[in-house]
Amino acid sequence: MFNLSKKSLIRILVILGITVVLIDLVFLDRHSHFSSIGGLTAMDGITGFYAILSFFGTFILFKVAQFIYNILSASEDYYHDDF
Amino acid sequence: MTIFSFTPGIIFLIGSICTFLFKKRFIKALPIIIPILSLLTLTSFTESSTLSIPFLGYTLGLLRVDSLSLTFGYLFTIFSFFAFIYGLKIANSREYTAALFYIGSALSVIFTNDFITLYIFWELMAVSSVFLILLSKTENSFKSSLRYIIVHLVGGLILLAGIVIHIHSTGSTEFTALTLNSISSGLIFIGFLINAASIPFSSWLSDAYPESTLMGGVILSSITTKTAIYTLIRGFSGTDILIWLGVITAIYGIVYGLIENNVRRSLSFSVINQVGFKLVGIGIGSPLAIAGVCAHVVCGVIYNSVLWTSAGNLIYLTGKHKYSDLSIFNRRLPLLLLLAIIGALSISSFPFTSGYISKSIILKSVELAHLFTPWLLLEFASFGVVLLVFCKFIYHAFFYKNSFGVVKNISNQLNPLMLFSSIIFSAACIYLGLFPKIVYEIIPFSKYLMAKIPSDFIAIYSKSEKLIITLQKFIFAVLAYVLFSKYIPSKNSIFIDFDWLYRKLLRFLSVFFISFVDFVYLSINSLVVGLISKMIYFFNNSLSLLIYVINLPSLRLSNIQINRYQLLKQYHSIIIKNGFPFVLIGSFIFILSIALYLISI
Repeated sequence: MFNLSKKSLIRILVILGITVVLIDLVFLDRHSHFSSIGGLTAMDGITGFYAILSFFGTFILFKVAQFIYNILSASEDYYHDDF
Repeated sequence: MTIFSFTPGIIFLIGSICTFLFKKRFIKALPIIIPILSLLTLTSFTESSTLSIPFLGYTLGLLRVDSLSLTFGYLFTIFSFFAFIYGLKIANSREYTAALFYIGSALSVIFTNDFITLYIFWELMAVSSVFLILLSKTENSFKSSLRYIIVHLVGGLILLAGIVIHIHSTGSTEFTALTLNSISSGLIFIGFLINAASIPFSSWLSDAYPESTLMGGVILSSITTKTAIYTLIRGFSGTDILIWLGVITAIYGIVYGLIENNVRRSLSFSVINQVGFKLVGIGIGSPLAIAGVCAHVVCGVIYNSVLWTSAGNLIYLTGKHKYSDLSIFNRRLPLLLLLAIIGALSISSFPFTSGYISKSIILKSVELAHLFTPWLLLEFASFGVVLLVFCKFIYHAFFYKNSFGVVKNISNQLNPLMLFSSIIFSAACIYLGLFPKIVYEIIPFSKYLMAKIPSDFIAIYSKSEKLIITLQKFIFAVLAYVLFSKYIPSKNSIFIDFDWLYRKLLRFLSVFFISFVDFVYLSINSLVVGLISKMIYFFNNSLSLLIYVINLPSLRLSNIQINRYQLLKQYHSIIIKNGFPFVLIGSFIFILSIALYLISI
């Protein structure tokens, strides 16, 4: 249906990603929702914070899922004789 | 109102009985008529509407009408209308009987004012919903439905114990807000959490829903957990522990969903993920958070329906339930793909869809409560659902193709009625994303909500910060998925979940317990049998031995060669023939002397 190669898809996503981060940098006056707590918690006010969070968060989620897969996967008939 | 007035729940229950009794030609029309009748009843309700009946000295309040119950009432009724249309060509009369009874029970729980009625319909919900799984008529569905009903009946018993203690200690059956400071409220809380599929009671959902019938899956995914969310809003708003339970539930749903290969099980984990957001909102308990939860329930039911009907349509077309099995098909289904994308964008909170206007309210309330760690983890869960549904479901269900094997063409045709429901649900997703005021106006704390959150199209989408942040999250999550999805193997495996505790551990424990009891029994048995056999031997041979011992010196003196065993045998036969009374007397004297000895001690 859509003949889009992986490379092209990555290129499109990178361009779109850079665009929204640039809009964030140039046009938005961002501030932290947790500035009253201070310290590291104020990091949500940084430009591109959600892009970084989303990108590396996905990586972390995949690693956690991979870990869960490795330690908790079992064959499909694992519960065969059980309730 | 009198007892002869009908609550929406009662209308559905009567409808269920009618579909069970009436001839086949009426069956298809009834499930469509019932929601319309129920909707008409709902529109006649005012906040002063009540209906109560006396029962064993208590007053049962069958009707409590306020913005909360009306929101859920309207939602379930309208949803059921389109869900029943979806099933017109694929569901049989028994499915409709079960579904009508199930939704009727859920509506009765929503509108009840007391714990006794709540418990009765809570259990009826469990019993009727199990048929929506059982009617798949597969071996797996039979086993899953057995586990489903056991978990729910155990949950119901816990709830019953809490209710009984609560009524005993307070003397009131009224279902009001509770605080977690007593055993009764704790038990009621656990009973609600089991139905809400919160951690650690979530595994029944991902176990049972994928095995249900196609229409059953659509209905189940939208009713049970939402009814439990309603009871938690009503009973436990502002309970802090729900915040952490919700956060863990939301993350858990994503992690398990990402590694799942079964299409509907993967979507079940997205339902669990969404439950997590709602639990956090209830845990915060502020007016904004509760309004957010209610809006999210409304939007959640709609986009879940889009996803479950799309998945159902795909399974109907191919007969396959796993992503890996779908990859052999040449899928050219533009309309179905479009509908699924709308559902996926909606659950991913993409702008111009319903998820965007509901999930953001819960996240906003977490920000306002200054809960940084829960907020950060919810953000993880928020873009995690982009991965789970938008990336995984859409890509693997519609695009992914194996590099090996014969590519098959889909030969089945979709029924227009099945597509009709999906189209209506998808249209609702878009409409609510553009004009959320219709939802904001009916949910609790609507005035407060509309004072805090923009409700007009222009006001919502001219707020560029939120829009750009959402797009950032979405685009970078998709980019990361494309780059890192190689880390997630897609194989036919199952994953050990919390149900391992009752499926394996409980079995191990029961086997261990039975073996232990068996061992103790056998040990005692062999000990007693050994003791008795030794006593019998002793009594049997005591006189022979005694005579032998008495005769031994004379035998030695006479220097006769004797065989000891032969002699004992000879004595024994003489005693058996002639000396039986002596054995009895000897035994009696022996027992008497032991008894006297014991008494003297």
